[in-house]
Amino acid sequence: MHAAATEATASLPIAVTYLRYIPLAPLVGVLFHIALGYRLGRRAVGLVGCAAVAVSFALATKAFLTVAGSPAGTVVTDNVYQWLSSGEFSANVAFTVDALSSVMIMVVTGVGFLIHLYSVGYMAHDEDYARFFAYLNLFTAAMLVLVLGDNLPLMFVGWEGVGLCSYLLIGFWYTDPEKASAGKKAFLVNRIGDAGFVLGAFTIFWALVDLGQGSLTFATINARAAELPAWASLAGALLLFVGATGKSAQIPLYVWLPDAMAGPTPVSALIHAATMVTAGIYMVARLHGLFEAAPFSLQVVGTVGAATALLAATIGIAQTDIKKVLAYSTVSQLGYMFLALGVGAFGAGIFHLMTHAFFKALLFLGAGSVIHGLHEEQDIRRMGGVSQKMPITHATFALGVLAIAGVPGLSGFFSKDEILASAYASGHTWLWGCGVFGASITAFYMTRLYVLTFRGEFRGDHHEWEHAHESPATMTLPLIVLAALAVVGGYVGVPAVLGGGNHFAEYLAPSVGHHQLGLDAGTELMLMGISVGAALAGIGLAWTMYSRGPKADRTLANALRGLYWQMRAAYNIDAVYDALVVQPLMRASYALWRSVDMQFIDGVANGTATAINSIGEGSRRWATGNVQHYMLTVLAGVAALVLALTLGALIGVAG
Amino acid sequence: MTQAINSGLPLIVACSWALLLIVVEMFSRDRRFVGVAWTTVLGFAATAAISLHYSGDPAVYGNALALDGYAVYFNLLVCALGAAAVLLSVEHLGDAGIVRGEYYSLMFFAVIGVVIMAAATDLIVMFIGLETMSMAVYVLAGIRKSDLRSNEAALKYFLLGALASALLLYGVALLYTMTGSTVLADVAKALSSTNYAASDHLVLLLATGLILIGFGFKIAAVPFHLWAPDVYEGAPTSVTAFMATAVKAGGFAALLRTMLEALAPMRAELAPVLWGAAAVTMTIGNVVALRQTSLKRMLAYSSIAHTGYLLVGVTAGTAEAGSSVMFYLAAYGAMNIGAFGVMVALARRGRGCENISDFSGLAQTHPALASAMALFLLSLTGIPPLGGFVGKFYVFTAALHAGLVWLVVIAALNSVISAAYYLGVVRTMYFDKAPDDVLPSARPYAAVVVAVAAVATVLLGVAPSPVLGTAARAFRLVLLG
Amino acid sequence: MRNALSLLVFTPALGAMLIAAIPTGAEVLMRRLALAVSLVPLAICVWIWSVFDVSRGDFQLVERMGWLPQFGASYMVGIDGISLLLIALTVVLTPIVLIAAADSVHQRFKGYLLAMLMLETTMLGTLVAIDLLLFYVFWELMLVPMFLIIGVWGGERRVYASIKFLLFTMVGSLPMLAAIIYLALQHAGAAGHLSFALEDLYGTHLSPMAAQACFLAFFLAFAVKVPMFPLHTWLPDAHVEAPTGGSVILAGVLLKMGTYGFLRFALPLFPDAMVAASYWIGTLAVIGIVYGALVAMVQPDMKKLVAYSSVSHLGFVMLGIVALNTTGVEGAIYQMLNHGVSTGALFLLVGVVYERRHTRLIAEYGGLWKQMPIYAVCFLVIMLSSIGLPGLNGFVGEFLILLGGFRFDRVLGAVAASGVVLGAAYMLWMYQRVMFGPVTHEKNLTLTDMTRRELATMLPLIVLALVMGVYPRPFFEVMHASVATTLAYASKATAARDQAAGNPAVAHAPAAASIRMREARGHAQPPVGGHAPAGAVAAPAAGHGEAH
Repeated sequence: MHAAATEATASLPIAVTYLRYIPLAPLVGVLFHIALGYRLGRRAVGLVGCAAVAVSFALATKAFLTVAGSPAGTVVTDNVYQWLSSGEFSANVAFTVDALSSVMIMVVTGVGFLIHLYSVGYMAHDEDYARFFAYLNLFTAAMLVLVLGDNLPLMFVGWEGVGLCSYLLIGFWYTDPEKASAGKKAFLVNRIGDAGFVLGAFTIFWALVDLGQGSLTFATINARAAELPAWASLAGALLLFVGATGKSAQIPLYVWLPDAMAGPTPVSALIHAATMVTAGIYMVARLHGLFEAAPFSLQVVGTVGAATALLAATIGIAQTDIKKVLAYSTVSQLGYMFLALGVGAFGAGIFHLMTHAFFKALLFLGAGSVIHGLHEEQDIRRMGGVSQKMPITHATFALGVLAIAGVPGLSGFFSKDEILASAYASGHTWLWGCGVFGASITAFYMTRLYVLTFRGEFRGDHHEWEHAHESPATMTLPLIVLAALAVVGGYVGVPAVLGGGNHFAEYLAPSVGHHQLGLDAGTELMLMGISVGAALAGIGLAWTMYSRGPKADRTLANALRGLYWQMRAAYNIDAVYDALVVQPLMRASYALWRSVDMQFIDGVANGTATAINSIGEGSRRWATGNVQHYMLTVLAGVAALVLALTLGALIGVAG
Repeated sequence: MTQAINSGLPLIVACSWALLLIVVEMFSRDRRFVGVAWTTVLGFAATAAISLHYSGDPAVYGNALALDGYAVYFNLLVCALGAAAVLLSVEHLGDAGIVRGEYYSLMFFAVIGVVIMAAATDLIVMFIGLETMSMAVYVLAGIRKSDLRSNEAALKYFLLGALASALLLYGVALLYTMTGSTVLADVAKALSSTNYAASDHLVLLLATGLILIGFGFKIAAVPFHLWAPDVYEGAPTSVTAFMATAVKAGGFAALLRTMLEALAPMRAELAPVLWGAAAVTMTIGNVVALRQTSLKRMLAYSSIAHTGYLLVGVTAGTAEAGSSVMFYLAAYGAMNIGAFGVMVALARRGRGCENISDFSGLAQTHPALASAMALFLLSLTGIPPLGGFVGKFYVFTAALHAGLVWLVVIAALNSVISAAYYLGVVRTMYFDKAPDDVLPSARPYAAVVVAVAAVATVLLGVAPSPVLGTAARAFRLVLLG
Repeated sequence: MRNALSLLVFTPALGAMLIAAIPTGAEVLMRRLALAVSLVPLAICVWIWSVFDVSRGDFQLVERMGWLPQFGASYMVGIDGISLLLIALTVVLTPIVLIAAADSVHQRFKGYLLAMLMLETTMLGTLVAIDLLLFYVFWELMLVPMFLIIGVWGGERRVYASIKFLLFTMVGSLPMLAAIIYLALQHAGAAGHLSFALEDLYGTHLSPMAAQACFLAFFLAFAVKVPMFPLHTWLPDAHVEAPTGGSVILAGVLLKMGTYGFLRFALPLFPDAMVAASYWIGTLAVIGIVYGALVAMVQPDMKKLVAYSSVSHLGFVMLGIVALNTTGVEGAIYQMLNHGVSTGALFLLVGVVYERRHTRLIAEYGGLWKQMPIYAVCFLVIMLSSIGLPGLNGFVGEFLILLGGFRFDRVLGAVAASGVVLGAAYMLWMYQRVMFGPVTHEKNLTLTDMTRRELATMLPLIVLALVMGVYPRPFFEVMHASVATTLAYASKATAARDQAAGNPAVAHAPAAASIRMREARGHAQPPVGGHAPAGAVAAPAAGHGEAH
């Protein structure tokens, strides 16, 4: 196996003890916020919150440089202590940085730091400042555990931890019942995925035990995946993928993510765009050996990814809430990443993950900046012309749009293109087609979003307009940095055909294997041309249509007929789930309680008691007090006794 | 000769003492008869001491009596129970409106009857003991002459008792015609050595059946139990306490010896009947007790239920089972005397404190009494580590050893039912609010009896070994002798 | 400390007698004294833990005294790792409950303290008894103080609830008494003398029929206590009516007596019968998991919700136990502790608002976070512990149980995993309705946050939840050897079962694990296997009587 071979070379662990401080630093921040945050005030909270992540970032950089500067396949490890041990099972708190996780921690701490910084400004007026930073730091810590953990159980700690933070942050403004509800929904949908996650882990674990090596470290799983029985690797991979669909918002578990936009905008940026939602992709890439050992599972991953990419993109077309558009676009982009994984291009998936983190964080923060500037207005139909009031936001946002739309030269172009080329090259023509079509839709709705928000005339009320303003420096600075990254971030992975060295894929190769395209230059350029064409077509169409303002929605609706309203309603998936799952479950629960518990079981118990009591009542009447009756009873007793004895004797004689 | 006198000595002393009591009572000026009561207690003590001193002697008077370990055990037990009942009576007679000195001598005669029953090794002597006891108790039950209910109950008791006695006597007579003896050991010998024709066998069965009925009446086994609730309720509480414990012990003393010694060869045939009687008796007793509002009636039914448990031991029929019944009677005596004692302690003239509802909130007004009562009730339920539990445990063990698995299961489930009404009283005492008219403070004599009974109940549970050992030895000797 | 265990067991009872002597009125003195008394067993437990030899799987600190020589029953106590952990749980929860009593008990305070201390004695007695009859004594006696606690200090329907509690439990336990006697008699038939000592009765030969009947009796007794579906309906009523402290102890410790009974008695005494029934029990356990969770979801009353969640959680424990592999059983034991901590804390938390508002209806609350932020945070942590968030204690137990259960039967394991989702659903939903949203009831506007005393009861549990989630090793070290010993009793039967289910490699897992462990610790003791591992059980007074 190709993957196993690369794994074998990666046998040069450098044992260190500083990796543990990467997640620990934000955790200390959490404790600080809880214990002292409300007493010491905003400045201290903001400072400590950012500093904690900065420390992580510094250490992450150190780890990254160590890995990057060492021979390919080097890993840095930090074995802290044995966490669980029972029977054949054990799991350590052990952290590992290899090529793959080094990229991840850089993204998490880097983007994370920027978002912390942004939050200092964005949340400046919120009374629960300390709580917010506590959550944010906790989230960062959990995410870092997720990517640094060297085994599935430890990853699961981070996995559920980020879910928890997502729950808390979405419901941050808890007095609004809808927001609290959205948080709960996110947690529960994730939990469904998590159940798949643990069952997948169990399947693999026991199969490995049968092979004589019960372990859930990624190294073992990847190394021995090929020896697993086919059913075990397939079932394990698919169950784990169920977990991934939960966390990374894929069909059928994506429904929580759009609702999650209820949280404060930095949260959306951090959790629901840049980091947490990529956990599923990271996990599949991390376990590439397992997934490759069960090729059918990769088919499923790719298909689900492509379908999600397309489905979410179509919903994105019709949304009117600025954050909802971005949310569906996130779902869609995550679909692309899974598409990449599904066709075996793990490196391409991670590449897109990284570039997406840049531009999507940028877009969300930009949206937040707009919302902040327009006093919590989120409806793009009531925006327009914002570029005049918010030049920095506008410029950075525009770059983000271009990047996600796949305009050549920006980061999104390189990563998306690599995905599409890989899909085509591996013979998944259908998936490629979906991807291209999706790319043009993406370009369309992102342009629509941009035009409706920043171009034309302002459509909201005058008050808002007069008070509209550019955001403070703590907010714009991250925007600028992210915009820069969104532009240049792709250059680490410029493909050979464009004269690049594809360094990124090479760097990742020891972790996830190198996916050779195997296309000739002509085909590759042609594919590139097609996708660029699709993107430009989308941009052009949207630009012309929406220059006229939101009225163009109606044109589109007429063209698409009923479908458009379905898109706007997100295909009513929530209602369907509610009718098919939630309501029946609640009704069944209520019926169970009433019928089984109260009527049946207690009925039997109380019925027995009543029956015994009524026998008692009946027998009590026997004691009439009438001596004749008593006498009669005695005689009856005598008769019965004699009868019994005689019968017994007769039977005895007969027998 | 001296031996014969020694063995008869407890009886002689007891009878003399009883006569003495009649005289003492005549000369008693105290309308409360405290002196008479103490004389009675002294008499019990003397009887007990003498039987303890001369114990172990073989059967005398033509194999009619034996002061063996078995008899001594019952002597001690019944004297203790009698003494307790007497002490309960000291104040209660006044509270119950009884001004009759012969009360104590009657009680003494009843005890003498039990002593005879326990020592009798001849069915005729046993019958004499039974009648001595019964006659005394018939009168005691109706001693409240002015109380109609009490009189009616006593009359009922007498009529039914007479019927039962007649049946018993008839059974003994039939047995005599078949075996040619009324001496227990000889009966057993004849039964095991003779090969009876089928028709004769039927007669034998009839005889044993009638004997069983006679005893079954005294121990209130279903369906010969109907007198018990009425009589228990009608009699003064101190008498009820005596009947529920000492009289029952007497009945079992006679039944056990008859069944295990004389009728042992017929055990296999009698076992199914006993099995059924045990199951029905405990079940009916428990089930009906559930519905009682009068504590006295409830305890009456509970005592029927306990007869059922005891019959499990009789059914098993082994030496072990016999001693388990003996132990059970001791434990049962302690906790039942205690329970009635609590009622007596709170009873006043015109207010019997006989309904369960009278005990509402007792835990707050009389915490000590309430906890003692709770103790007795828990012991009656069979909650460890109290005497009632060890008794039940011993009986179950013996029964299981004899292979009576299902009977034990039925008994176990019956204990659950019993928990419902015993703890129903605990509930009333502890959970309910005390009524406005608070019960008076406890009568001192009764309180002391209650305390002693409580200690005995606990000791019989925590450190039952001495009593267990005595019972076990006593019974083994019976079967050997 | 020759009599450490007896001292541990009877200190609370002696303390109760002392407190009984204090005249009514001196409530503060009583309270302090009771707390002080309850700290003694805690201290003894710490000492025991320090001298406990984790490498041994047999009974330690054994004490034996004659009690009923006629029946061969003796006062015989001893502990292994399993009981030690549950003892620790008991001695930790009792002081907390006594502290909380000051807030939740408004009448007959002295009686409450007495009942609690007596209850502690009986619970500890049940856990240390290694003579079956002695065990039964404590087991049954345990009912009485709990009956009083529910009945005297309970809510409106306390009479119904307490009687129901009592009768359900007794229906279970009396047949067990019959089975105990039967077992002892069978042993006596072979050995020539009656004995109720556990070590003598292990490996008693019974006919399959008899073994199954006896197992059924034990099963009934323990299953009611656990409680397993469908014998659980006493629990919601008991919890709703019980005072806060009663609920804490009931959920925290009493329920564990059932699961403990399975491990200590049912499994080693009737291994074949238990293994044969394991699928049935496993199925009931999983039904309990799902059913409890579903029904919890629709409860309008917080306490009832938590009560049904207990049904669900204890279903997990039972699944782990019948999995009969190291992972499952150890997970189950750990989950017993977790449930004690988290559900105990949940009941305390419900009590906090109940004392303020005198209602437990979820609909009466809402938006409490605003009014009581500290309370909300405590509740949050405990809720997360209860739903098994990794990093907190609940996860460790649940994960291992599911891991073991999945090995035992994939379908059962998978269905059980859905309980994790449902568990989050009912808890989060309750939390949302209570804590989030606007304050809708005017009365809630004046609510005050947790008092210092309330925090004092809560913080130890929160710390435990964290520590047990992050660093569970010390707890597992204590139980490894004992679990191996316990499983070894059933190793033959489990091996056959697992072979039939197609799990060849794990068939000898318990025995193998015990070998591995023993070797690792340098013990030359031969591995336990076979039916009755004689070497695995201490011969009392023969050198094993004392640890060190």
